[in-house]
Amino acid sequence: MLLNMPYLLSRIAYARDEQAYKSVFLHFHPGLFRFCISIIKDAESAEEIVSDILLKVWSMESGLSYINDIQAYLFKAVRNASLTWLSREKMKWLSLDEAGQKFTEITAETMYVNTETGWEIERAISGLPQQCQLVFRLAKQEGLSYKQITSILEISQNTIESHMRTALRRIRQQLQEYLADKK
Amino acid sequence: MDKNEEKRIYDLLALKISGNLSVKELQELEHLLSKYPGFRFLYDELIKPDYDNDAAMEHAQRAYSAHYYSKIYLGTHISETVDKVVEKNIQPSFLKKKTNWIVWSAAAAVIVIALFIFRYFASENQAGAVGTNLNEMITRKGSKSRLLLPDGTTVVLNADSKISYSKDFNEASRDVILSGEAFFEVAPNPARPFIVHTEKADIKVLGTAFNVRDYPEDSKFETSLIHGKVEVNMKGREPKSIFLKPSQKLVVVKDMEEDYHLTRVTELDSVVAETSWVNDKLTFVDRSFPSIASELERQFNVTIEFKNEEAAKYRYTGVFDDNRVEDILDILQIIKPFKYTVTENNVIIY
Repeated sequence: MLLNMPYLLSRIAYARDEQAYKSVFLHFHPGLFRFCISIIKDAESAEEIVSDILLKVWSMESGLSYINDIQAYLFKAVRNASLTWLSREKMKWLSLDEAGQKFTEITAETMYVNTETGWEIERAISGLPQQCQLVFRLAKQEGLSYKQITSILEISQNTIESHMRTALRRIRQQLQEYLADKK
Repeated sequence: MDKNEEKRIYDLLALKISGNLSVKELQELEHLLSKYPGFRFLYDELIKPDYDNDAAMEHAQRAYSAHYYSKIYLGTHISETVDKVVEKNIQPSFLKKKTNWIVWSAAAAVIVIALFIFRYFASENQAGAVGTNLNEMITRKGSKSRLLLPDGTTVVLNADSKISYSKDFNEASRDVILSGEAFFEVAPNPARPFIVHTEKADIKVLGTAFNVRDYPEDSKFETSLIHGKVEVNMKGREPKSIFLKPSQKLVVVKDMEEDYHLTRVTELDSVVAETSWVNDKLTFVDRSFPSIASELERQFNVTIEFKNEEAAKYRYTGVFDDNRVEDILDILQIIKPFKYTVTENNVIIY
């Protein structure tokens, strides 16, 4: 759905238009939620984090007009809040293997993947190193351009290209193994 | 396979899945894929949409409902309840006016209706803001109300309370906002949780019958469960989740953020104290006289003033089903002595 974002944001900031706010909320919620959960692997906390950040869009009133790129702002905010959450939860983290297992269940569930190869790809993505994984998800699941990704993650375009290649290589490898096992 | 070509295929694939491939680059990719068919499968799988858009949107709708009611509505509208309380305090003369009782209550009814209309128009005319499309029911002092929600849930609203719910209630979720006291019998629907939002907490219903008491003027928030299961999510600096089982009651002392305790509902003469009001019975268990007085004020729409310091220290326990405040005062008088006068709707204890 095509939205006139600058118009909506000014409606929210100055006219306190709740319908405009709802449109913005519904537009960004799916992507932000998927992004958050890919970092913290906890659906309930992801819900809270995304809700708090989207609340800012409403509560900062006219301050909203000072934000140039709302998408980058929101994704960056979610990333920062998620990393903070992670560092606080560090004690409770499972071992890497278990985390990989649990993670696949949660994200596959929330991503509504419903094919077997889809699951395999999801498993491969979950196994990627964190930054590489984030880059790949933002590119694939949210369809963001490299330029947009550089402003959210604050890394260079070259790094992004390199992460994408690594991700694709690993996914291809995992798929080949999976198909070989099936035969 | 040529290392450079391999790198090139991956780079083009990456651009393709992030949606940023030019026509020329797409042609180049097609050429490479026919040269190295081993990559075709990867390409086919990765360009498939990987999430159910409808499900994601429904999830976002539910998230918005919960988000809106617990964060936006209560945050921006809580000042209205405060104004109501302030009004009560600065205009005692209004209540003591020597006007005819019938005329007075008609005037009050008009004011309540005017409030409704004002609220309705206000939300429609705010500079283009379509508003929240809320249905609201307000009870004033001295009256209770019963209402049926679109999903079949029955709500009994106690005096001086307000409940609101969205016009698209029951679509993605069932959310209501409550200020005051209400008794709910929730129609079961596992697909759509029923959530009551109050200033202090959000109560998610997983069962059927429960009571919520959160008057702004009260120093405590209480919720009692009669049947089923509820999850109380308390707001505050450290949000907490507490599950209640039948016959459990949660009491939160409002001034102290972290002070809450779980207890049992109180039964007296086989009447459950917390919900007896639904059947027009007032139950007090070791309650201070002033506290009983504020309940009587709400139920009978009177003001009660204490001019007797000793009497103000009294505590009472009992079940009353009288429908005149004088009858209740007569009984209390016998249990522990005091005198009182009633003028219009003004009671003085001396």
